[in-house]
Amino acid sequence: MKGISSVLGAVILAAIVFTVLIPLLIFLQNTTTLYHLQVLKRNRFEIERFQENLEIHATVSPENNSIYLLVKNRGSLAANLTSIYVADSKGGLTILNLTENSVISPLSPIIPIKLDVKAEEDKSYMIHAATERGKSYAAAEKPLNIRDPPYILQVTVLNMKYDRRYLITVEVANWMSRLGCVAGSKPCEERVTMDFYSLRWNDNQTFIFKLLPGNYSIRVTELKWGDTGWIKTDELGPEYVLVLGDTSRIIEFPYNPPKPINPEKDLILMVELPGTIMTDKQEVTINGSLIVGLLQTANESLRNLDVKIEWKGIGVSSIKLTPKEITINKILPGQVLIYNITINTKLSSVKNGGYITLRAELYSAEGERTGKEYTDIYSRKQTTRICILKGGIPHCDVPH
Amino acid sequence: MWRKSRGAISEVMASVILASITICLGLMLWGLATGWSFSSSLEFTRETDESIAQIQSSISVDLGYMSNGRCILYVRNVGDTPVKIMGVELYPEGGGGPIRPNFDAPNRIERGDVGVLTIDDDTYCSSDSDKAVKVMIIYSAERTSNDPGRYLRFPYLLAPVNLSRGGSS
Repeated sequence: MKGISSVLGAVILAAIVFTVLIPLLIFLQNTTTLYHLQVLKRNRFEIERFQENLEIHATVSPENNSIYLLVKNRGSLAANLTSIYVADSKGGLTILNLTENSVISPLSPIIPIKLDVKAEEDKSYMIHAATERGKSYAAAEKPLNIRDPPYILQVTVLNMKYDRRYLITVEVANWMSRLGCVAGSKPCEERVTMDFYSLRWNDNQTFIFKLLPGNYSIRVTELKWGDTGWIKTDELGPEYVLVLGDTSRIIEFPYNPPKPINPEKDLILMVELPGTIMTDKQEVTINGSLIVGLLQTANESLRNLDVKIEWKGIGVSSIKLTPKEITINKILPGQVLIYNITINTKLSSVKNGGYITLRAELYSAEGERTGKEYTDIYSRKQTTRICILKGGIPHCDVPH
Repeated sequence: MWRKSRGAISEVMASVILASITICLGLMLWGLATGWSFSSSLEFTRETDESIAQIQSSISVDLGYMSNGRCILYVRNVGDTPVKIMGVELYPEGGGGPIRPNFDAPNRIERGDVGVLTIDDDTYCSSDSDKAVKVMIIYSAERTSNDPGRYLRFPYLLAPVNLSRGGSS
């Protein structure tokens, strides 16, 4: 009986421990767990927010100038677009609340979203898109102005042929829908073509187009002048390019290796003189021409041409040829140069006529592309007969 | 022997008395412990609830711009509890502040909703000023809005944008 109080005290203490302290500890533990769950949830939310990564571009449809957003999810989480804000330079603000088709999956292709706003030429637009996680993205085109497309497409065409015309066409491609436009004669066009005439072999040129984001096709057409005008001889493309920033493309025609000209076929070297000259004087002046040129089909230009004129006379005592020698810096295929020649001559006798024969010689020339030396190329001989008029009767005999 | 037995209580009685005292004290202690436990758990619950409310409240700004001496911000509630905007402070570019301007905001922004916060300040909310201003939005979960110690702050840098001049400056 003596230890009953101790036993009761122990029982009561145990009761306090089991009915008060332990439930209190469990309650505290549960509440703390709840708090930590909320902390974890918030942390997860913040991490998701950090990981969300959208790329947004604004463009227009070339048909009706409707504004489109091009959305690309660069992150690892799906993002849900909730609102789109379109502010214009005249103070207007359009808020579009998206309800469907607004979830952008990670690694998805670029998704176009049509906004019920039409871009006007005299307005600039700033476009922001907000997601469910509370991130706001501004379209990279700040501002969007269809009169001033923000991006440059640089098209480099390599190995253009000599004497060919090239049409470089950039056109809005049909990709999901036709989006984008190119600045041409009008600020926003569906297709723009640049025209280039090549005057060099393997010519390389860069053509620059200003455009809005979108998918475009590039086509290069080669034309040659023929009997019926310009005839298409080659075409490269279409090559498709997605423009979401400044972009460049190289379009390459086959390389044209240097080839020498065929002098007999491609070179024009002629002396033109009158066939017959009538005179009643012993001293005669004859005017002629020296013609030097290359046919259009020649494979290269010639540089540093040295052309000499040789003469031979019968029945003439002296000949003074002006000029005797011509130096030409450069001659292009299709180019023909004509030089005047003056021949001052004196007949041996006032009774008889005479003959003068001229011949041109390409003494030296250098092929521009091959570096080949062209020498000892002669023109056909050209002869002028000089007749003496006596009493109105021509005497063309030549003394032996 | 008889005298001796009349002057003392029996062992049983003594044990009963001691047990009764022990039980009374024990019950009293149990009652005190229960009361303390109850009040502590209530206080702890309230504190935890407020902390959770603080954690659950989160806002973001979808769009902010300056227009005619007003800063206009579209504030989205991205948290899990309704929030209330309690105040706004401006910190102008180049130093200064906080400036506490007049503002207009919805009384309550529900979860997922967007409320328009309009700040009137001709000096710092002018797009012609070419100066940015940091807008500090002071907000709170609605159920802790009477406790300034639980207020949260959301900074947003507002740059003047003049679209008619062709871009942001």
